[in-house]
Amino acid sequence: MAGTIATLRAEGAERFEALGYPGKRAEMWKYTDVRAIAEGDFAARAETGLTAAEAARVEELAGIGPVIVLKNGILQGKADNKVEDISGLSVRPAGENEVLAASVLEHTPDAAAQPFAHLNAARMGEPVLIDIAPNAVIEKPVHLVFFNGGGAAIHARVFVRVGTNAEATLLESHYGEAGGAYFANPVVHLSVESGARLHHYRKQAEGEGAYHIAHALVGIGRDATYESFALSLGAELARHEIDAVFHGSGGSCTISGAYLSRTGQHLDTTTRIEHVHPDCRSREVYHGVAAEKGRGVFQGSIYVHPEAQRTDGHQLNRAVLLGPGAEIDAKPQLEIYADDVKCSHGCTAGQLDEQALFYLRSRGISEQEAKALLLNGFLAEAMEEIADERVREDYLGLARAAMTEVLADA
Amino acid sequence: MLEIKDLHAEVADQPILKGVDLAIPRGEVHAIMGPNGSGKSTLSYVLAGRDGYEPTEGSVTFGGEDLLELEPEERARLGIFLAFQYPVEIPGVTTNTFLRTMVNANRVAQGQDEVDPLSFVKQVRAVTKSLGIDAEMLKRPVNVGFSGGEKKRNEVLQMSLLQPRLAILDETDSGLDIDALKIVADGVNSQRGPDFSALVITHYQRLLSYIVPDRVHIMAEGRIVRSGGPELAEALEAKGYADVIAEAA
Repeated sequence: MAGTIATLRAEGAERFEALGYPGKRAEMWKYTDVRAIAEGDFAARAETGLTAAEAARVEELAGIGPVIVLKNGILQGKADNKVEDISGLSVRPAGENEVLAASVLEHTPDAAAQPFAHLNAARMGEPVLIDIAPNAVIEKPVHLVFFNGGGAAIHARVFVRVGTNAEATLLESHYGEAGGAYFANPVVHLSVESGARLHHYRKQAEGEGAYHIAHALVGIGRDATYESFALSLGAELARHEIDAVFHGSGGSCTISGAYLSRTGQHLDTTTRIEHVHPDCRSREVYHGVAAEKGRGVFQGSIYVHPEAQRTDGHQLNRAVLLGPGAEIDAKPQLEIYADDVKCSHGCTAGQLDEQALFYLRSRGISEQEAKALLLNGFLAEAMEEIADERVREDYLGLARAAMTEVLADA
Repeated sequence: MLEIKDLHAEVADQPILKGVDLAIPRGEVHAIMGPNGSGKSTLSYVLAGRDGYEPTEGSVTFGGEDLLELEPEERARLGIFLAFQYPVEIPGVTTNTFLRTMVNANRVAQGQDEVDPLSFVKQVRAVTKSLGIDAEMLKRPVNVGFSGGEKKRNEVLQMSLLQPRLAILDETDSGLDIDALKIVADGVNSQRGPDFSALVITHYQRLLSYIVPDRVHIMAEGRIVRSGGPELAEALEAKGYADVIAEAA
């Protein structure tokens, strides 16, 4: 079908025009105020060549696996993308295979009520298509890297197809310029076809002045597995919105993550998992820490349709507040219309465990170090959801370093 | 070594300790026995510096230093170790990381370098072996999912690594079967020497058959009401608390 991308773009413009930027009266946006983005003065374009530091980082990452680079939303050429010849993996502008892009679009949620996804469609540059061929098993992790900045509004869009019975690990990293404000608004479609397995690890390390609104639109085929973890550390205002839907029975979906919201930071995670077919499992574990005057938002919805019998759904959201001015807003939402289901959810927010703190201090560990140990442990607990040991170590190290800075400022 | 004079303390505005006098000379092991609610555990928390256990009168010195002025970690670095009655679970922190952090915090406070990771592993292995601890435990989060016996052995493991000058064992025998009790007692006995003092808090005489104290004190209603040699523990076993406390009155 020719014209998929042109149609998406035109529809996006129309739908964004109809919806506009979400106001605080919008139910899904009552905790997150996006006026700064709506009123922001962002450049329409920014530099698309890599800096020396970025090129060096890509070089380093290329030692682990293939690296696909988007600089300010634009796919880099062969020289900067380190995608070696790996059988079963192809990366190209989506315009070169609109039929496949259309299929990914069709098998991932529509984001009908999400204005930023439409804004992305209206303004996106050339979307990128990553294809894992049916039955391919890609051993090395495929790394999708975003470098953002330049005071720009950046609307990257990526289509990922994991073909029938294929298996791959996708790393997604968002890096940004320190200092100035910019607006990153990426949309990533992930179609995990029947019997396929995708492990998806995402870190958000935007610059501290950044606005970051991201959508992951996930379709999970029959007997397919989508396993993901998101670490959110960067940006002044960030929202990571995940929409996952099952397209057949026997699917499995894990959406987990951790965040550390520093003073002045606002980190929002909004997820929706839709159980449409019987015998699917979903699991969600989020741990977050809000520093003094830091804010975290967690909105997690699980929707079980009448046909989705024997659904097994589990959601846990825990948060620690580090001061009287720290804030966590949590809204778990379970809507269950099938009668034979096993669904549970838990939600806690509180201070550090005083008993544990005393236990550590009674061993000669300073109060500050004891706090760091407990908080890192709290985030590490969520990271036990990460199956890949190397990724887990990387994320633990990043969280630890950020925690050290937070506690030093306190 | 430890001198407690007329110590009064409150928990949640309730007076619990009502004038405790106790001196433990260097190298001696003393036991405190007493019925539930007599203030034994409160005394251990006041000595370790737990928030909410407020001394209101009296003094505690350790090696001449005013203990009550110090933060919990400062007391620990002076060589005071509290083996908890209910060791705390710490999810997400492996026992190994915890032990290394603990040892390094104390070394750095004493002006020493951090421990060499390799020799630390060897040291820990040696102690775990002598305590009958499966080394797999070191990879698990601190006390999470540990049996009662494992938790108590973990306390003795920490004590062995820190080599305190004063160990306070708060009902370390509770919840232990006889084999675990012997292992724990061996761990404590191996520390005994001229530079090691201990305060063994227990409800039962049983533990004192394995850790034989130099002195036994009986606590009731927030005070030491009677002191004596190891034979006092045996008298308690034979007659029960009510009679022995009545004799003291």
